[in-house]
Amino acid sequence: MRSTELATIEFGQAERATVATIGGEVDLSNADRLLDELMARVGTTPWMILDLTACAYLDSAGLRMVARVDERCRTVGAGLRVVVHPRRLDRSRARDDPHG
Amino acid sequence: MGPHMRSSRRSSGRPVSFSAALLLGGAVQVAVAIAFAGASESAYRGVPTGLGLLVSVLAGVLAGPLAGILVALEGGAGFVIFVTNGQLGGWVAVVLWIVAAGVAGAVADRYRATGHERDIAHASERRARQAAESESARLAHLHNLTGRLADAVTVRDVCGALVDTAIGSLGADASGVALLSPDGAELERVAARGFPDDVLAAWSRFPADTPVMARDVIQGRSVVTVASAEEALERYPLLSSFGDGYPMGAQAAAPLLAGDELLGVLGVNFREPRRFSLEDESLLLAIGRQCGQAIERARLFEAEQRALRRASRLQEVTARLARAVTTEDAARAILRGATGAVGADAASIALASDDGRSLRVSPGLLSSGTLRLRPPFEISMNDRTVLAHVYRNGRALWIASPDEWKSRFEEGFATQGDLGRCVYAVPIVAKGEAIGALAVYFREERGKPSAEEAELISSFAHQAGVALERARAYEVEHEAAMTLQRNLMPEGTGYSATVDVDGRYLPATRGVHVGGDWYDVVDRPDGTVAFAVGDIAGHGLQAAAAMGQVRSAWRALALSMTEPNAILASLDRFAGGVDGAFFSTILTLLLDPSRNELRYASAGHPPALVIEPDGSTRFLEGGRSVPLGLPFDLPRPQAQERLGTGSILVVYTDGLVERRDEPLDRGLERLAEVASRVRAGSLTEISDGLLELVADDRHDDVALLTIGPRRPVEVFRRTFPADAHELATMRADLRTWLERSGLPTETREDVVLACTEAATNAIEHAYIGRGGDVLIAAESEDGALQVSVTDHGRWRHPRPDDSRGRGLELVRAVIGDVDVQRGEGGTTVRMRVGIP
Repeated sequence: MRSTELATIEFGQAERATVATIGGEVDLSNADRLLDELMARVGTTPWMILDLTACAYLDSAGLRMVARVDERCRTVGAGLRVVVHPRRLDRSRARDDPHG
Repeated sequence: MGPHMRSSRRSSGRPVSFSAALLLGGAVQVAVAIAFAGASESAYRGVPTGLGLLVSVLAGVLAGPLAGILVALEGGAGFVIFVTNGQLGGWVAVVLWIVAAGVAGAVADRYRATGHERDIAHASERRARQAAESESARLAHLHNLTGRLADAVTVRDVCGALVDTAIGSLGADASGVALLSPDGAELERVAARGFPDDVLAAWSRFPADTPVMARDVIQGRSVVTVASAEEALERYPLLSSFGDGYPMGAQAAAPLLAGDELLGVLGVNFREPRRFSLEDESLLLAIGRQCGQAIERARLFEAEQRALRRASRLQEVTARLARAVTTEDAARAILRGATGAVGADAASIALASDDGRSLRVSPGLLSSGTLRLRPPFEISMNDRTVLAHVYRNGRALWIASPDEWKSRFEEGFATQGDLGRCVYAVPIVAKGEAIGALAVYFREERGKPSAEEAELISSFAHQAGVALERARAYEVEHEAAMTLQRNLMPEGTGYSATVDVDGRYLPATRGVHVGGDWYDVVDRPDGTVAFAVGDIAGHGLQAAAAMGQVRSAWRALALSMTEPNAILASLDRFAGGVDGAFFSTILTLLLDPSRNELRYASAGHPPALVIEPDGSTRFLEGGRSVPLGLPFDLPRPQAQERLGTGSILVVYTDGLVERRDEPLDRGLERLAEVASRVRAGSLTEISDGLLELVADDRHDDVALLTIGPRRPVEVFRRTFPADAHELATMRADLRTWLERSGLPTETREDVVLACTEAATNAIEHAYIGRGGDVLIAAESEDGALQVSVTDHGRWRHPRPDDSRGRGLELVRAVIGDVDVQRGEGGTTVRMRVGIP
């Protein structure tokens, strides 16, 4: 399975928010590519919503990606909201949480 | 004189006074002749006559003009004139005069004769002595100079010796040597002594037509001298600008000649006025000529040294390039060579993409002697950068200052402007086509690179072209061969239902990774297991392809044939028709697990090793014959063996035991030693232990197959290349295997996560820029799941600010029991999860 098929990313654009929906698995092989796509949208709207509910697997490479997006959002003064499955959120918190 | 004498006869006429004058004149001549008899010839000559004349003139003033003139004349001439004068009253005076003159003449002649002889003798003796002295001084100086020149290696040494000799041999106060530039337009001072600093500073380099002595020397190719400051300033008014410290007395300048070629000018200065003799001049010419030749020789030597240095540098780069397998290695070698060769501070190499539209730029900076590569980046071929410009135009380019750089190549200056202040760039050409550009950067502003430097950089660029083309081809082939090999090799364990098998393949650590080693295992329908290990001679794509063919042929034969030697005989015929299969070796075995019976045959392959349950080991040396594909019909024997219950069989390729500097037997002994030491572990552990033999340094690839009796516990084993793209497949396999482990779903995902994190660590940190494998093993034992992730890379501590180091924290967070072992040979992360 190549990274191109491993995860999907879709963008929806509202007036004040860009919604990025990531599905599939995020790991070292595709996190940078996904990050590039996310970074290109940061700042185009006041808010960025990152929807990870359809994400079956996300490890530290994925968390790093989220942290970078968060960092960029703060820099440009945009807001970021990350949406995850409640149970998975617990797991993520237990694992590592770079920015609260 | 005649007409005057005749015309003055009339006014003569005082015989007494006249006679007295004659007497007086004669007496003075005699006295002077005596007085000067001892003097030198030149001092003597004319003095008596002169004094006599003076006295006679005085007498003549008193006695009359004619008498004076007559007195002034000597000998017979005066007498004849006196007689023709016809004055008889003075006969007494005439007699007296004749006597006096005769005496004077006799005395004078006598003394003149002896004085002259002595004079001549003295003079020639003195001359001889002087000549001998100056000759010996000259010889001494020349001899001394010859000695110094023999030691002088560089042009500077030669000129230093010349200056010292010039000062020493002439007793000069200062001396200097200036050499002509190759185009003859400039003179550069190479050595000087005795001149004030300010003059030296102002005159280190000056046009050859500056109106000073050197110019006249160059024009006339001969020695030029001035005897005094006055003469110097008159002929060369420019000298008036020199300060008081300048030795402004006599000065001389001589040409430095090598054959007919004028190389430069030697100058000597004195504080005092002085005349230069012919000998001085010829001395200056002689040492000038001697040094000219020495300079020529030193120049040749220096050129040779430069050529040698250049050759060795090129050779160094060539050697490094020959080892460079990847384009990154090649770029590094080129950047290091290019910076070192011309004393540059940084270099960039730009390579065109396949379509030629963009360039990939790799900059490298020298910092305290080591080259640091910056991350590569892409530019378009149409960008306003030095590299893109040179790539487009195919011609070298020199940018002398940041201003010029910025105004001509704004984009390039913005991205690379920090590498230096001046840039020199040349195109990289391969097969007659520009494939990129090479640039060197200098932090200090400097002159345009010399022809020699330019040529050197061009040769690097040429080398770069060839090497990069090759590295690209290598990479393409390597990737293709790796893929092929991976597809051809069976994965890990679990492909025999009858026995436990642990198969490993390790690429060589040097050179192209792909070799032709292989192994395979086939469960036969009759319950026996056939397995084989083989080695195709050669490396690379062809070897991998041949390996694939031989292996599938073996597989087909092993399914249908029971006798190993019959399999070999068939493979023999097959190998003859496969490119690259000639002379390949193979060990094929058939194991009947129910009876512990083994039959085997070896075609030139190292022997299998049996590890008995008691720890003793033995090699199976029977059934040996020559490698495959030889055109002789030699017998293919086979051997049979009964194994003890619980015996473990190890088959391998020569890469595991062979070292270049020792006989094969020693390698086999070592293998047996290690095998008996690690025998107690699982097959995985035994394989790991055996592979320790070649963990760091493998000239060759290694295939290893460890076969043991079936153990009840099912194990998971995956070895995959340290590549992020392998992670997803590994996770999928691990998830499948974990389904049967009895762990709850969430814990299974935690194990998957932990393994991925550990593997990610290995990919990101252990194998930076190098290939390598990651091994994941999992098995359930005593109610717990043991998982290990192993790499053979080097552990690097993550930097504190590096979020990449967090993977391991994550592993610890989800798996309670984690143990990380780091060693020279790699890192193993072991995790233990209880099974409820």
